[in-house]
Amino acid sequence: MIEWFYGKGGQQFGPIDEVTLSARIATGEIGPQDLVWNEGMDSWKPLQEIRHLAPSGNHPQSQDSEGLTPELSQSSYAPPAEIKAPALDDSFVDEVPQSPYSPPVEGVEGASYTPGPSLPVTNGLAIASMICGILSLVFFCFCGGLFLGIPAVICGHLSLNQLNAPGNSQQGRGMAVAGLICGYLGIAFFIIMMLGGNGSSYQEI
Amino acid sequence: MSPPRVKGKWPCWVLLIPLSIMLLAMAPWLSERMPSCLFHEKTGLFCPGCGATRAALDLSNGDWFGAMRNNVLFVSSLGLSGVWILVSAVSEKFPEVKKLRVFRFRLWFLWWILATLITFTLLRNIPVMDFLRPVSQ
Repeated sequence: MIEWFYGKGGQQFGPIDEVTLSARIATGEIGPQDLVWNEGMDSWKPLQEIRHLAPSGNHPQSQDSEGLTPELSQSSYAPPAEIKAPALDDSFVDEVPQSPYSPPVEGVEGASYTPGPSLPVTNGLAIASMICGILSLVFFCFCGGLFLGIPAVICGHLSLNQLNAPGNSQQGRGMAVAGLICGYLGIAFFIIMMLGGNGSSYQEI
Repeated sequence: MSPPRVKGKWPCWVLLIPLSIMLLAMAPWLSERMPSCLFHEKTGLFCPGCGATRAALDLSNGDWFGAMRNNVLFVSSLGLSGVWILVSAVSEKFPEVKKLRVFRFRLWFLWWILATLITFTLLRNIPVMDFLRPVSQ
């Protein structure tokens, strides 16, 4: 039987079986934005991304089409016992991915899921923007101002748009802004370099 | 059921090592064909990468001191990156060795890299810190 975990309001719940999960979805206790996870998944995902659980019809019967037996739907089950995982090593607590919904810690056996305050993940585009921005500052004299500065600016603006979207709980605004500034600077330096530059003087730099 | 263990992956950025070796090998060829730095010509300022090609050329000739004189940031970051990549790769492979975990990538590394870059650029453009500038023009 698949055992599910879900996160809501900074807390982690579970394990529960799929019937219980569906019932909680149907009652609205678990919303489409709440994260769910089971042992077959690499990471936590919003409920709406789990096709057979997504509350399109908002009723647990919708899962019958996914192969659940009628017996399961009738739900005469007992909640499974709580997972007792070994306590996490204190020296490694700082390195646990910062989310109460964190998937298992990479390379650590028996890492427990510790409920805690919600710390959102960093926006990927913001990270990309900052990396491209930094590289554009270093390599602008190798055309990096264009080939790295422009992606930094694009990623930075896209990231800010995503971060400003209502309901977005990701972080990384500082990185996006830093990436934007570095990207614009890289482009500006490149333009300064090219304006009136004498490209014919080949010599060791 | 217990939380699954995610298998450690060999980081793809280990490829940076052969890439760096290739860059060092190409340094003599590059130095003959690269144009002079137009940014320095136009502004008189030294960018953070200024002198890096010459430093790479010196490194390929085994002249560590000359390389440091041309771009100390490039040489030191090359060395640090090499060590960090190797240790980080070993850490991914042997996650039970806790002491190696400090080498795993953290996002705040980016802020330190940016701060170092800006500081180095500012310092090498201050007249009293001219020893940070490339020696050969």
